[in-house]
Amino acid sequence: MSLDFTFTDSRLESFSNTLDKLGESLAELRKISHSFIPDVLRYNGLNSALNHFCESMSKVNYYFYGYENRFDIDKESFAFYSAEELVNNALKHSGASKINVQLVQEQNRISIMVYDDGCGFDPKSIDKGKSGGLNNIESRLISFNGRIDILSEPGKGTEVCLEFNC
Amino acid sequence: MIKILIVDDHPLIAQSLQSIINDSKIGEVVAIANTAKQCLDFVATKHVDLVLLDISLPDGSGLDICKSIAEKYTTIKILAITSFNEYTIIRKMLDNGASGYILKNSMPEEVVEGIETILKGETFLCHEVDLLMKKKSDQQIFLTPRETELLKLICDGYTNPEIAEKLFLGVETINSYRKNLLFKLNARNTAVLVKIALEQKLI
Repeated sequence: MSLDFTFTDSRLESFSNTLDKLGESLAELRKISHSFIPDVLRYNGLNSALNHFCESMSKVNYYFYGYENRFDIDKESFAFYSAEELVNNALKHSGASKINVQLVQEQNRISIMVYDDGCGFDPKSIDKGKSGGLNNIESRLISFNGRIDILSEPGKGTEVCLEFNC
Repeated sequence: MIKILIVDDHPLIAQSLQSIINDSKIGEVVAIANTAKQCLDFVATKHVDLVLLDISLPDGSGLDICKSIAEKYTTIKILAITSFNEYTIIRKMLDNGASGYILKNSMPEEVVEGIETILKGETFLCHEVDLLMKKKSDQQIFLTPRETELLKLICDGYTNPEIAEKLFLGVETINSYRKNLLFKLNARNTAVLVKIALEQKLI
């Protein structure tokens, strides 16, 4: 089957509209899929969910300290997705041979740390525009009254700690 | 004949456990429960000697069920059968009253061995869990660069505000990191923290 198609002005406009709509749908889908909370997170909590997540990847080690209490699902899922984002960033960009994920929980505090022994970067030079995931994390952290600490140097690995009170 | 209740929301798992048990003739599977509620309802009304308990159930956690059963029915033995192989969960399940813990990727023979062992009143851990628990107790603690930095400053005697200034971080952040270190190194207070840091040459 061959498509014999020439761009007239009106076709171009409707094509462009279609692309816009597609873009909107994808954004909506992304939003919806992020609101799906994995069962293990919903029923067993942040520790189990992170453990499961890290287990499925060979380079990632997981450590848990503190108390296994549950928090509001929006806080637990924020923590989970943030950790996921940080791990994925490390896997994609750092070339690390080892990624450590740590969760420390107290009665009213969640602290997440992701460390990799990869290539590191200069935190001052981070292109915030490109790193959509990190942007998201930081802006949502503000709404939770939380803090983020990024420690990294080219050639010396990366450590990102984020935490908030619950 | 030993009466066994299987609690698992995956029919495939539950039925294969049933086959293993019935073939071994070590006991009789009197029921399969797919939810926490079904499990609790069953033990409340029927006699059960042993419960094979999964942890992730659709309406609750096996950890809580374990605790309820162990507290209320002291003669029932509980054997956890689950895919969670994480230290704190295993620890919690055993603390909640389980006599044994088996991972779902164990060999069928381990299920039978587990049942036999806990019926004798002993604890049973499948091979992988046994190794994990042993490894955990003598695992070298890993500290992140930031934590190592902080620990050194704490051992040098700096206060939280001083450390915060040195590292260009907020005092709250330093406070949290310090608390994290206390958990990680299992220290009650800063003095113990410093002692462990020096003993284990962490700084």
